[in-house]
Amino acid sequence: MPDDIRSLSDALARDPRSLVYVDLAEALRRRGQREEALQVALQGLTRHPMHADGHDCLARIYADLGDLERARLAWSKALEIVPDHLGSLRGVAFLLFRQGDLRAAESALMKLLARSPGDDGAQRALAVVRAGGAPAAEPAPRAARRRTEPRILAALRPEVFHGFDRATDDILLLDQRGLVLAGGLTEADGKDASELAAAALAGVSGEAARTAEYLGLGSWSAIVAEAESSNLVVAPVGDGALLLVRRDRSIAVGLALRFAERARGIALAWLQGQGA
Amino acid sequence: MSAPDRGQPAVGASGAPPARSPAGTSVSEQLQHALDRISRVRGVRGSMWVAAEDGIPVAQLLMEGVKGKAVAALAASLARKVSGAAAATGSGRVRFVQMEAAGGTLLVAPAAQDLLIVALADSRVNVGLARLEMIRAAEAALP
Amino acid sequence: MRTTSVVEAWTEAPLVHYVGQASARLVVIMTPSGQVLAQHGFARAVDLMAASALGAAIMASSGALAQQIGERAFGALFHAGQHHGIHLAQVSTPRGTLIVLTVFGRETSIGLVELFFEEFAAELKKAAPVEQVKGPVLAKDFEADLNRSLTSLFRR
Repeated sequence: MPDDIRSLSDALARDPRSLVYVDLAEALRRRGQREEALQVALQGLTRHPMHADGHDCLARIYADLGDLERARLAWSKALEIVPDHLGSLRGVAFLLFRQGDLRAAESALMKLLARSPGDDGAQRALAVVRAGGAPAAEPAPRAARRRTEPRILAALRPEVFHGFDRATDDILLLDQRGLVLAGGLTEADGKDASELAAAALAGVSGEAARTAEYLGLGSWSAIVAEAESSNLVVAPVGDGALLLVRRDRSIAVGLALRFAERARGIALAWLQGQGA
Repeated sequence: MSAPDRGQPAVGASGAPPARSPAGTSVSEQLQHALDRISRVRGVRGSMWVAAEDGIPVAQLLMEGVKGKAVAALAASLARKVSGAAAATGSGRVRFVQMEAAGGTLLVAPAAQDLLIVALADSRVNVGLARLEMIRAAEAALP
Repeated sequence: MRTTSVVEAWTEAPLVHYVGQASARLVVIMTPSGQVLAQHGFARAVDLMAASALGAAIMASSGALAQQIGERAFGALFHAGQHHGIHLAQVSTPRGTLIVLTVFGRETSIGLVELFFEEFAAELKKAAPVEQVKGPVLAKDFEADLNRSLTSLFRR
């Protein structure tokens, strides 16, 4: 057992009424021990039902488990207790964004930034949300993008699309929970946008499946979205995974679709090799 | 409302045959004229104007058997999710969405005044032509 | 954390399905007198009581207004707020007329709520038991019934 978890467990065992349950639950969550984290958080909240930090922690655990409805309820509870709770404002903004409600997400992010103006993550998220509702600025040429931050996460992902043009900048493979499996997506300034994009795309997949079924169209096979600076192709891969290909607007939609089909074949073969 | 013969316009929602759209026509007539042009494209089974936020049809021209309420609500919801994804990928505002499926295609183009123009088509649809008509309608139909 | 609870078991499956499809935040199924049969999303009994009483009252008022102008009954009522909307409608079932109040946020739309409400109404009709013939409702019985319902819905 890691030292931090051991010492936090000991502290909680010595005083079960202590608020250290939040730190312990968070440490377990970060290590991926979500079920244990959930138990600790729920137990702590039975003793401290009006503890906003506890509800915030619980919400994050539920979000990690993919239970967004329970996450929403927990964050709502935290905000009921402490209306300015920064962690919960951030969490609610994430949920709203994931659900496609850009206006409400913008409002939540602005409220957060009013309380915490130096929050870089919130500033970046706000820029992304606003880009969806207003004309985009002229995009920088792709070759001129500056890599200002080391892309550690992207570098650790499997090189599924090795050899494809812009394999780690414009091609993303994710699972049905909105978690990145391979590839990557970068913003114009070179920052990794994969996780944000994956979270948004998970909602698209479910909606497409429902729409196609309800309208009697059978299974959906691709979504093509023409946007101001890019064309996007989204396609299901195998059982539940999703592929996103982003191409510059200068590339014809038909070509983008062909490219996406090739990438999809590669992704499918890789998933099957993983036993997925 | 009767199903259109190939090459013939369908009867409009008001029961009157669609007409050209000269200057000075009402908003309703402009909307209906746009739907008429889109519905003439081979393979299109129905077209409609939808209030994007509410997912409710504003005007429609549908073949028999097309569930207008369902098309409107689901197309609006899909468009909203796709817009969110486009924002997350830094792609900017969405101009056109095409969802391909085994049994047909759903096409959506955002327009002014928080409206969408939506077309439901079968597999033989001339997507290029439908897309052109829809984007043209989205840009021109309303101020 | 329980989010859906029912007094009458036959309502559960249709309600869970409807909530999932429509992305509703709060739903109450009640009789025209405000007695709750099932709910989703409410955390406190007092909130549920208020919602069901007000929902039943709104339906009763709109029914009276419909009669005034010569309509048999209005269909669904819809109110749009800045952050939430409410949808209120009646469903005729073998168990009797029921009222469904739905509160939804901006993650869904009135179009979707109305679309899936139609399915929901059909499922309720199919699942409902035939109403038993009841005696007159006394004030003390009503109070006891209400308390039993609330206890059942918020049982931990």
